[in-house]
Amino acid sequence: MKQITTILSLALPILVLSSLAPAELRPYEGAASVPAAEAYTVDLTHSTILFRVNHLGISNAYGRFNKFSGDIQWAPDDLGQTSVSFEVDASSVDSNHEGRDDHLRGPDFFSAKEFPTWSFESKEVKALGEDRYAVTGDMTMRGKTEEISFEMEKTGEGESERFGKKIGFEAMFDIQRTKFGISYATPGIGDEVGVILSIEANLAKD
Amino acid sequence: MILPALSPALVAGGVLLLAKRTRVAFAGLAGALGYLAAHTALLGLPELEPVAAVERMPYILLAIAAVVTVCGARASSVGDALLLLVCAAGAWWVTESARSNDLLGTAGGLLLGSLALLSYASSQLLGSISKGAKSWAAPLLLATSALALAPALVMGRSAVLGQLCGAVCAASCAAAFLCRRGDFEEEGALMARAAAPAISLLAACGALYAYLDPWAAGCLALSPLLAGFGLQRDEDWSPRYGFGATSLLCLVGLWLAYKGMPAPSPYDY
Repeated sequence: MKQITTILSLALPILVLSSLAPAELRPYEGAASVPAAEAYTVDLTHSTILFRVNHLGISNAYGRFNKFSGDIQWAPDDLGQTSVSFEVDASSVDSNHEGRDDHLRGPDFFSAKEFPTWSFESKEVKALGEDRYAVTGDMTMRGKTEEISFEMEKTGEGESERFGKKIGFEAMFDIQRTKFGISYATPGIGDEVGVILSIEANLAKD
Repeated sequence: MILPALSPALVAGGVLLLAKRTRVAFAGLAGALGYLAAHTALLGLPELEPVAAVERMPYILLAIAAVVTVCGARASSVGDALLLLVCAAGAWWVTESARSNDLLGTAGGLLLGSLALLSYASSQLLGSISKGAKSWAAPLLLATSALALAPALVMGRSAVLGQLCGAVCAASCAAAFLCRRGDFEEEGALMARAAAPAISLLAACGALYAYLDPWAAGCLALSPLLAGFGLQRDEDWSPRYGFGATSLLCLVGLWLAYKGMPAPSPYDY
């Protein structure tokens, strides 16, 4: 009887400890308790990419791109998980002049047949203040990749039954077109091109 | 505007004069260096790792010119094979984006091969006709084709390609002028031989990446080859038939480019 008691007294703690062992591993799994980034896709209908370029030192001419897509991985509490990526159809340029658009699509400017898409992939997103972020990433235009940085502002976010969860961002920044091999007609047509990005994105459905 | 137009003529002329005093084979570099000067004046120095066809063109022409310069005026099977190889590599490099973007479709291989052969054949023909003709004939034939292709490219909505083709025309005109005035012998033929592939390659760029009508591009790319109509049995070359055939096809190409020009005018803004 004494032997049975001894065995039980030894076995019980072992059983208790063995049942606890997996629980001891749980905190490791629980390290991922920081909420995962939410995936948003750009809503083309409510988003705009505008560009502005100086013409002959007299005025600024504006144009837009009508076709683009983008994904945003949004994790405001862990910006390391936040990322932004865009792809723009270069041939969708619209400057309100059909002939000029064809010229812009040609080898003098975008060479859209040769390089149909432009892309942006963020590498780092940092917080600057309330709803303001510094985005750094690689922009590829006309086959050339350059690192650019710009400030992005969160313009709002919300959720409704009808529209689902949405988020909005806006950014304004300048790029130098000659860095991307677009040097035709400088300086008559300015080297510095202003980009105005206004994005509304929908939470991606699983 | 003046520098891109004058620089190829001045550079090509300078190289020809230098070739006459030093080594005749250097004349092969005249067209490519003239083109490089125009490219630099228009777009800056060519990129070290070019991805756009326009940026690759100076390297292709320099490679062809190097082969022509090394092999000289004497025909040799090794020289011909090297020239064909460089023309094929040039055609491959210029059409790379078009092939990866499926712009050439299933006929891609056929077009690539045609472009390589056309560049090679233009080079060989213009190099050979001057053997029996005056030395200014080959550069002037090249200038005729370039003179027609340049406005066609502009009509195809690429001022840059048009201006670069104008550089080929200016360099060829300078070579023809010098060969006409001075006692040049092989220099004109060497210059034309090295620069002739520029016509077919620029025409291909215009059709693939700009809006140049493909039939117009085909006619204009073929136009230097029609100089072969002037070749006669005794290896002599008739300028009347040679220039006549080339000019006729250039006019047809220009007319097709005009008819195929998309409306409205891209430069009306």
